[in-house]
Amino acid sequence: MLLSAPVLRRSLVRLKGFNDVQSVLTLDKIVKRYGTTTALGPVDIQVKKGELLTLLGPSGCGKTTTLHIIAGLTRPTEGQLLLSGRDITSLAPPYRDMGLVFQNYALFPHRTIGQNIAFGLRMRKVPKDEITTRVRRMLEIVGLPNVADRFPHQLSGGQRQRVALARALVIEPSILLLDEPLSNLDALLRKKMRLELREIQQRLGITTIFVTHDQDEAFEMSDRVILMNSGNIEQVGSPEDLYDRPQTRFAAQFIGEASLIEGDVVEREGEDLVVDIGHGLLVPARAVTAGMGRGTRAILMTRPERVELTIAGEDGIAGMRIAKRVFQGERILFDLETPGGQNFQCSVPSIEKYRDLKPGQQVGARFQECRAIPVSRS
Amino acid sequence: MPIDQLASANPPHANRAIVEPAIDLSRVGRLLFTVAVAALYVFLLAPLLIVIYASFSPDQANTYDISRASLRWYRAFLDSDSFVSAFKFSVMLALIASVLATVIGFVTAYGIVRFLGKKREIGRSLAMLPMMVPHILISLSLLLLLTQLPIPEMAALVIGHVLICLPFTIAGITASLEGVDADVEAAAYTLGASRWVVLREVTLPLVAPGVLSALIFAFIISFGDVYIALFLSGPGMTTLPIEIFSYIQWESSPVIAAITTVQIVMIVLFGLLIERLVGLRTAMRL
Ligand SMILES: Nc1ncnc2c1ncn2[C@@H]1O[C@H](COP(=O)(O)OP(=O)(O)OP(=O)(O)O)[C@@H](O)[C@H]1O
Ligand SMILES: [Mg+2]
Repeated sequence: MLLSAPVLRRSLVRLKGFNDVQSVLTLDKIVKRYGTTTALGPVDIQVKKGELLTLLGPSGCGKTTTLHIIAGLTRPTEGQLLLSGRDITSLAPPYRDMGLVFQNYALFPHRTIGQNIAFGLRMRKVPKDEITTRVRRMLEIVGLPNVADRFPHQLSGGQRQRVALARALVIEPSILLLDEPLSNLDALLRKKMRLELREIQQRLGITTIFVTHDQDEAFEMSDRVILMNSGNIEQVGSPEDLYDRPQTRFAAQFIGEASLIEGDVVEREGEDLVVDIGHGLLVPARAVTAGMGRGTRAILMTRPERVELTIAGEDGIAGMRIAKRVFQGERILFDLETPGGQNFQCSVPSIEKYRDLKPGQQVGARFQECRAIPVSRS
Repeated sequence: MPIDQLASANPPHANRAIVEPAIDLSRVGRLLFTVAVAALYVFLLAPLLIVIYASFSPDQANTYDISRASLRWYRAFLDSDSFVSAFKFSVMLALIASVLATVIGFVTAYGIVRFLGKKREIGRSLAMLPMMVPHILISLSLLLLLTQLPIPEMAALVIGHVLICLPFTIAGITASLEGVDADVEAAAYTLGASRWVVLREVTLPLVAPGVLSALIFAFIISFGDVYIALFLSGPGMTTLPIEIFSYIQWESSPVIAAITTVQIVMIVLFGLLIERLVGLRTAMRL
């Protein structure tokens, strides 16, 4: 029997979607090009049922593009999109059953809040009475029971955001897509809405893809995070994974405060490495991937709160020079310089012992939970 | 007084709170400005006022004692078959042309705003070009072109009028459409509305004031056109301006003033309507 490559591939993909019951939505080698520039991909994403998956990345990395491809508003140049194993790559948005919340909410300005929320149900020819009850219930869920007769411009930003959410949720979409839904709110409201959004999502058990460039938001809300960088996926994992075990230089730098120090691996035992950061200073570290054997270059990733500053007599690697000192009240942030001229940060509690340390002085450092990233992957 | 100084003049209450100058300069400026504007209006509106005045004349003369005002020339207008049929023809022509120009204008504007992307400015400028060309030239070119084609003369006239109305409808509707967030359309689309339903339920209601203004504007332009009609109308297709034009070549009577006054009233009413619609549009944005 002869099968052409695409047919074989398609049936394999179908099988994959079929077997992998967990994956509601699969992006299979999705690419988006505008002219000759590639805006996205190729990316592979598997979305699990009921999870909140976050697309995190700097501006222009392709988050909105990914979301619009999923919603059907943008057609991918290459690749396939599978919803519960069904190929929806060329299905028009009205038939996709996705609830999309836009960054600017995109409410219908000429319709009341009630009519805004009812829109999707009306399109689905739901009977009038049922529309009324479902709209009312939805408004209660988002905590706005009394605004049905108002117009969007009569609501505050936070209220509009909730209406946009209600409008997307009321159609009971197979997947909820949120494009930076909190970025237009003030800091306080943003924090409150994070928890609220997550609470509603978990209560309804709705599979959600959340887009943000704010890592705090991503960490607080997500089951899993996809870190994106210039159109590609940099790393996928739980918030803890991303923070604790960045796989690339970009991931280490983008997430949290990180200092990167280059060095040579001089010893390896299982995951535990010893890295020479110059002038014979040896730092213990944990390898994030395989293949960082003796003699290879590695990047050490430390975080300010994981470096302990030591002074004469204490157990640390001596020979670090204080390059800068920033008093932050509760804590003091030091910029330290290795004898090899590489800088890293160290944050210590604001206690007497450290308060009088001045730039130029020599101190030591003890590295805890240092991670080693291979140079080749960065 | 320089304009910028006028513009920066404080509102009176703001001044009062701080200092009470002997001579309030800003008030002098305001007065001068008001006088200038008033003079401008007199200059613009005086001819119209004279026409309106003349239309109520009791006899052939253009000046009369206002207490002798009469509706005589309005009656003459209504009694004149040629004027009334020209008026009706003009209204019909303007209706057809303005509706066509608005529909075509909407489609063009939608294409320019939603699909041209970075080339939007080029598209817009191209659409505006017919506005820069003197109507008499457009008319002449159409005459040369359309007489070569086997189309009825009425169609030629309509085409000519649609052409001179289009830049205005495209410009007006483009501006309106630019105020509609593409995401709002996309939202409706993802909520299950087909392209057609999105147009009907979201886009059109949001640009309706702009579209109606464009329609009225096109109507006025078509109604007042002389040059296109002069070249392209065939026998039995006399528009009101042409009828007036040929009438005043032979005689002058206040009936023309009466007809003109009717048109002025029509245009003022339309203008008020546009004003309301556009006001409505601003109110509908946040
Ligand atoms: N219509 C388009 N034509 C050309 N390039 C585009 C178009 N839309 C997006 N791009 C490019 O694709 C890339 C990804 O854009 P996208 O909007 O997905 O970024 P994003 O991650 O959502 O950024 P942000 O955080 O700023 O919203 C960008 O470099 C952008 O310039
Ligand atoms: Mg975006």
